[in-house]
Amino acid sequence: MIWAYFYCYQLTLDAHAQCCDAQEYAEPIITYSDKDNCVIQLNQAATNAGIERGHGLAQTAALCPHVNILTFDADAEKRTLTALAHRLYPLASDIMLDSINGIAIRLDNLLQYYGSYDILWNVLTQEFNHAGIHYHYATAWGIEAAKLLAHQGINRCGYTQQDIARLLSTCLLKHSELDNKTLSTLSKVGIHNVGQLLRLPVHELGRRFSNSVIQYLTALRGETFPQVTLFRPSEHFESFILLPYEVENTAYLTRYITQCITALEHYLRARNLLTSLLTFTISYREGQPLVFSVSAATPQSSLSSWLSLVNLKIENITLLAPATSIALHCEQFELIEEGTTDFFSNRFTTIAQKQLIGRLKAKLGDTSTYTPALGDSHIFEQQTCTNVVTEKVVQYTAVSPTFLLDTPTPLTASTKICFGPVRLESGWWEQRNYKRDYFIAQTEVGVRLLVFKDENQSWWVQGVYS
Amino acid sequence: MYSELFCQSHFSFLCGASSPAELVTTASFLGYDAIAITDECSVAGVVKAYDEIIHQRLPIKLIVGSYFTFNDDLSFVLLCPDKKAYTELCRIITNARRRSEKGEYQLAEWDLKTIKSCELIWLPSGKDVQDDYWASWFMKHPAINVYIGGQRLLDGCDHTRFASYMRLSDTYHFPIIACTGVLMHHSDRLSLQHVLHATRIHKPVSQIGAALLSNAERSLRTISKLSKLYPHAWITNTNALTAQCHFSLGELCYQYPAELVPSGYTPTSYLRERVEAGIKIRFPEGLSPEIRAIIEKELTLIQAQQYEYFFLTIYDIVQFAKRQGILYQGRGSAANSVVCYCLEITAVDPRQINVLFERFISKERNEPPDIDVDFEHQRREEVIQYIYGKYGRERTALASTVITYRFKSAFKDVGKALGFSESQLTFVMKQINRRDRVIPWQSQIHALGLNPSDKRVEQLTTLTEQLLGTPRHLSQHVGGFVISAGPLYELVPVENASMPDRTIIQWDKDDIETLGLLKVDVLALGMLSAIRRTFDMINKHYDTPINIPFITKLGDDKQVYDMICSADTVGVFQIESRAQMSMLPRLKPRRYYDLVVQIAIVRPGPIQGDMVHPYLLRRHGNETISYPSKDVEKVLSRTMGVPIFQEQVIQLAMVAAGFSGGEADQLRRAMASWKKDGRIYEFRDKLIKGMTDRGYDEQFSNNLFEQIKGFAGYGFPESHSASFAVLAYASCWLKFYFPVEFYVALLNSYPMGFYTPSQLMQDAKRHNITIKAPCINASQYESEAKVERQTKYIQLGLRLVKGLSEEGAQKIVNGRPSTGFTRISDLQLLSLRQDELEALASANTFSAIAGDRYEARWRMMDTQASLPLFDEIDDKGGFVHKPNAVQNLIEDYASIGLSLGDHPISLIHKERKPTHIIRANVLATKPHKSIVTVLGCVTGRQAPGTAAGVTFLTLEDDTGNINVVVWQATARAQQLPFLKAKLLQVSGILERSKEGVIHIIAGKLIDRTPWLDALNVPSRDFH
Repeated sequence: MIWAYFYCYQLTLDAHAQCCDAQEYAEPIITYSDKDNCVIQLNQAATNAGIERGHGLAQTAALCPHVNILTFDADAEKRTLTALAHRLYPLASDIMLDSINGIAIRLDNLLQYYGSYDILWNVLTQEFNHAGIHYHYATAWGIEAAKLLAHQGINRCGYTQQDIARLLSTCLLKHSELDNKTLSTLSKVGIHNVGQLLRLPVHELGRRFSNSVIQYLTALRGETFPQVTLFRPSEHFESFILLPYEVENTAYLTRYITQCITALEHYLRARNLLTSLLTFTISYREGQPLVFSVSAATPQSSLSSWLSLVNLKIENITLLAPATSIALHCEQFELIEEGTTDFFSNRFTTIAQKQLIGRLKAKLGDTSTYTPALGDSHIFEQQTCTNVVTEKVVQYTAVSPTFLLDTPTPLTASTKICFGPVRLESGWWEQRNYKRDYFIAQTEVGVRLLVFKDENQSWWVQGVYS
Repeated sequence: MYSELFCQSHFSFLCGASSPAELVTTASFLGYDAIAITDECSVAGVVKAYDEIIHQRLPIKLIVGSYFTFNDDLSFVLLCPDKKAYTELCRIITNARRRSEKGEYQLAEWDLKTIKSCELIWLPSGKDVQDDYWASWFMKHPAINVYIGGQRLLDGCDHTRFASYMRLSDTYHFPIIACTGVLMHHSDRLSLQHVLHATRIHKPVSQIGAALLSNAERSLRTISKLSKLYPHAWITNTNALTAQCHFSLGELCYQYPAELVPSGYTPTSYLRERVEAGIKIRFPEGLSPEIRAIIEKELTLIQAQQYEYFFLTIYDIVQFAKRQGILYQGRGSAANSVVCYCLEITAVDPRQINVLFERFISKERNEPPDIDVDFEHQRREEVIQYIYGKYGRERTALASTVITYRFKSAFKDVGKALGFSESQLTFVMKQINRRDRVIPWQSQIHALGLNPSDKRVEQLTTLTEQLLGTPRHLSQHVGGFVISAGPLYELVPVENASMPDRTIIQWDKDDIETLGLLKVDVLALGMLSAIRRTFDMINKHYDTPINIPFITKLGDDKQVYDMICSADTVGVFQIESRAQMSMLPRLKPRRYYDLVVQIAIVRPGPIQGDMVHPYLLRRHGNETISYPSKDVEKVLSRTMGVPIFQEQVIQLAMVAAGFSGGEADQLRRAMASWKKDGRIYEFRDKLIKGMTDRGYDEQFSNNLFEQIKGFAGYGFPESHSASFAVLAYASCWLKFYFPVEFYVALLNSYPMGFYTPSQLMQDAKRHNITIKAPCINASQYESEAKVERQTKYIQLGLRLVKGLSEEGAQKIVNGRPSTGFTRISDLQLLSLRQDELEALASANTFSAIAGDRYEARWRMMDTQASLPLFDEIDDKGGFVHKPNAVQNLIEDYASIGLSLGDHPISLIHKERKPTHIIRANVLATKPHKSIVTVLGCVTGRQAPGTAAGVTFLTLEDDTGNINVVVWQATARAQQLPFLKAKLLQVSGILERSKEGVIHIIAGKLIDRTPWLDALNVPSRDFH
């Protein structure tokens, strides 16, 4: 058996590179793990600035104050890796996804289709290059050995036993699968590379190390072959992009949405499929994510058609908080058939109420679609709100009127105060600081009004009692 | 007439938005008759209010009380009409607090039933059923005087509340009083109150909604407004209740534990008896008339001020320490008296130092006596347990410390309340340089991405400033005990501290001082442990017992002072830091009092007040000493006309600006809290006017004020310096005459002091002391001073082995055969934990029986070797891999924190042979202003606030330490090596002062870390 292993060491950076132009990527960019407080990926510009893997954020910022920082997200890397496997699947059947950033591909059983390792290798690496993924690679008699060589950064294909053994012996154990405790134990007796370890008699090792260590070593030697779970592509499409910076304006989302739909288009065309419903999830830095769907009147696959619909929707979306990631999910597919092109018959008659609201929102925008609700605030302007239906029970104050005016109007009628004052000093954290004394006043014709006197001693009508 | 009887200060943490002082001052300004400070289950703010009223002479009565919430339906305020009620309140608070975790409280119905003397202001919930239940409950307990607290808050609910009050009053006949429930002294604190509320419930202000205060009516309002808001009858009831409350905190009479004075003695006679007994110990050759006169004078003063119990309490504690062999040292304003010397509280021989007691206790200044006693840090707990055991936990508690908002916490809490994300706040906070004197933090945050035109950013800066200094919670004082005659909870509420089995009172040291209570400071000091250990080792071998009095009696030793002047002071007390060491050759201390000055002068106070340079010039006769008056001369003559000590500044305010004793005391307190509240500026005009009126020129007056500011928060009292100087001298004496024992004691007392064991051992090596590594067959648990061929050497102990417990080490020591261990399996039989055996191997302690550390580990890893059947197999197998010098070095540092092998720099010189690099010990031969290149491990990076952007690097090579000065521009231009290098090559200009202090002014910095990349030499960064 010959396995190739591709260690994709900067998946987050590579995914980011797809979304930005060359000029942007020429700036120093790092991927930062907040869990370990260290830099784990960096581009050439960042390296030039003196940043290294393992640096903390403070040191990084001190070395290069203008560095762009991407946050490491293991799930995001896993998704990028899965997307890559989807691309490779038409080229090679025995693919194994390893950890979050490794892909192992069995080569020997593909020789009959490709004729030679060189041709096969060219096809595979071409796909990696098209996907824009950086990697270290190696080939060996088993996945463990190939992985160790790739992590060591060998970047060579060895196909003979001697080649592989020679390359393996130079590998540092810190790149191996051995757990930290074993590594530490070995390091404490001066054993740092595979060659040193494999030269020790097996019976001596057996007296000192657990079975799992011995099994790993035999796998490295190509004497045993652990079972592997091969990749099976999922039956629906998913695309996920971790935004390189927090986006507050939906206009800036377009490029990432385009990237998602491009991937979808690639997916659909490869499978001769169409779809009529896309579901987007925009995650915020804090709070619940925004989930919205875009449906098309007719199932389709082309980027341009979907993009125009999605843009229509996006225009009307206001981000409630800075967005950190965007995901596209699609699971309703139709095969391309002539029959489906006649789409208009009997379709619109069955549109459910929710679909209608959804389409109205897509067309008119959320701000034009109202749902009455009671706001949790002392400020009368905020006591009636739209869109957001709150489940909170809010106690009305005694002065809450039946009808509140959208905008207070000057009090012109002659009135008599019959209740008050209720003093309001609130909202200083917003653009306006409300300082008002509220009263219930009655006009000469008996209409009761909610009126207030502001800081300038002007009188205004805010509401009307029934 | 009006009195506010329900008022919460910022000691109702995260609720009240004004200080007690602000509340009483504003209430007085508004013409209130009285104000009750009623913090939630607390009296932590009342003394501050009392102090403000006394010092500002405010015409307002202070009523002590507290607000409680029993459950969702019942909340009330208790007021103290008399001392009995105050005792009752303290007991209720104590019970409620002691039932709960630190910072919480839990009232029980039993607490309510025990209310007999307090007046209860009930705050009805507005829920009829629940209010009726509690009204009936109160009716069943007629001993409780109940008033209904009627509030008008203009929030739209006044009319329903009003109806509820009237119904309850009519039905149950409780009188209604008017109260506001004040949370702010002024309406402009509303936004701060909102922020505190938001912090309390962990939500941004914008998301809280109607739960926030809707207006600022819960502030102190004008009497005219209140008389319009409240019915006349309510106000009349309020005034009647106020008239009943006549308790004042001044009535609290602190009583010392009576058991201190045996029957048949009065406190005075017993103190005299103890002093006379002490005279026989301290002055066996008899007293001189001068000393006798001082003792009599001091005793008279102590009697006049009734401080006998205080001295006797401390005497009792130190006698316990003496019996237990715990080394201690008293310090503080009263500690350096002859009486304290006789009572063995201090070891400062008055004949040596000629310190005048009057200087420390002054009737006129009305300061309470201050004696802090430092004990060995490893044994202080024994003293604490003695105090608890002797007086009981009911009568003893620690003073509290008020933890206030500092910049970071204030910025973060305000930012979160305003809706900034935590990550953004953390980032900005980390980037702000608070030491930047040119660009204030408010401007710096704009450069860090916060938009200056954004209103929220403006609010962030304003509210952060407002929140600074506001109390956040109570914590325990480092060692200040209050001990009383009766249960302490009758004097002040006691609550739980975060440490198990520790309780604190609700007052801090300032409150205790205000009320004239006396606290005993039981502090911990690492150097005392080291000195005691050194004495123990020396006394094993010599007949004459050596102790601190013995050393001080010997007088100033020329050789010891020579050592001090050459800055050979690594490991000694106080004068060991780099700043102190660079000052020593310039100040050239030659006698005890020089050390007192030396310790105090290298402090931010004198440095910021520009006092160091003039003092040095005058000391070396390069500047004439002049005084503007005889009075000033009297104060400053001992420090050559330059104020060095905090006491001198206070005395100057008295003699030159005419401050009274009370005013000087206020100035002293303002200096201590300047950073918190800036109250020191209140004294500026009075100080300058007082001085100009007395004929001092304005320049002198302004200078003095600036010096006072420099001292604020950083000033060092002479009384403390005097005691510290004794320990500094004693440690130097020990280092000079008994260096081996001294280094061993330092190692065994670690962690303490400024230097790591590695740095201490480097210093020992430079003194040609032989050091032997920890060994399985030669080491005890602690390091030892041993003798071999009449030469002393240091045998490092197993204590240094990281990962080896004391219990494990003792097993080895106790289980060691007389001929020593011969095989690793011998140790495996001692049932040591596997990780401990590995730690021993890492530390190379098996070298005597199992070769190098790799081989020892390889053998230990063999699981079959420890089985009985394989017992006879020879375990000297040999192992192919051997550690090299660098690997040994790395593991030495990792396992015992130091290496006795070659220094890293020595290894580099062996391997690379860099010709142009100069060692530390050769620098002295290079001329001033010459260009040199040095190489060393970066062991220290200090960027003191007083040094205007300069960073001081300490490089360590195999021959000594090298002091490098890096200017800000150099650091900025060469950021990479400056920030990253563990091993740094510096080319720069050698500068040598007249006194011989050498600095390298850095030019080119090169990071040589790759030369020894994995080296794990600890660095102290930017302290």
